[in-house]
Amino acid sequence: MATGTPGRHPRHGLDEVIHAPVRLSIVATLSGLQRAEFAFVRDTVEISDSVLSKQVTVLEQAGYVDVTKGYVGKRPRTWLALSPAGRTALDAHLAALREIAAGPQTAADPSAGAASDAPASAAPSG
Amino acid sequence: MNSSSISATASADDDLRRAAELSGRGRRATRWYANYLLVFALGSFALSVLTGTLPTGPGVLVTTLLWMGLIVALSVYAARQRAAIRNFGRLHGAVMAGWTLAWCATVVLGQQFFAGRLWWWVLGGIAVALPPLVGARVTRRRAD
Repeated sequence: MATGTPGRHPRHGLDEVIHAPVRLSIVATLSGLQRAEFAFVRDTVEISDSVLSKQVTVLEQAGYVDVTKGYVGKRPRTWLALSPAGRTALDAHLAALREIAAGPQTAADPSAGAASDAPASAAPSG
Repeated sequence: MNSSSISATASADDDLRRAAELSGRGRRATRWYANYLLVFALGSFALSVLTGTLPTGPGVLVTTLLWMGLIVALSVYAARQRAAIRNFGRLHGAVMAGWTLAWCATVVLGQQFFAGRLWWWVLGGIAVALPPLVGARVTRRRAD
């Protein structure tokens, strides 16, 4: 969930839950998917089972990731999916990152001093 | 531009790049569904041609067994996959609905008016293969 008072700087749009690198990696992996197996996300993000489990718990408590457990044959499976709230939060977070990446010209920090008048540069798309 | 701005910009750039890379890797892992649909399309075409050309008694048995074998194999293949494309349920539902309509039309009209006419069953085969072929193309585009 985004916290902090709205201000001129786009960092206020960064989501505190998603901002952590591992959690950002997890939601980014899930962003194009309906759902993915736990082991797939672990292998794609390149972390251990326990780290993934801890981070998924945080995301699940924030309402960003849905966890489903089931079986395929006799094998237990755990599936992860990005919730609608998670997608919204990720989109907002990426938009804030793009603003920051566009450079200080459009991301003037009131605490740093005067804003720049230069036009915004093209931001990479996420 | 001060050093903290430079590092914030670079850090945001890195995050965006990593997010894009991981999103792409996730999507590419769903290409299996395109393969599934291609095999299903080929099997559907063959099903139509066999249904129209084999004699009714043993032909129905052979065709049914072959079709069931294909469906079981595809189901096992699908169950082993680790990721599903976004809106997979809707896409799969639309493909199966289109296939069912095409198959019913092919069989009902074929048995009523075009029994023994190979051209009808070949055309029907193309019709039943079309929905999964379209689904495969949609999947490839979404997965890339």
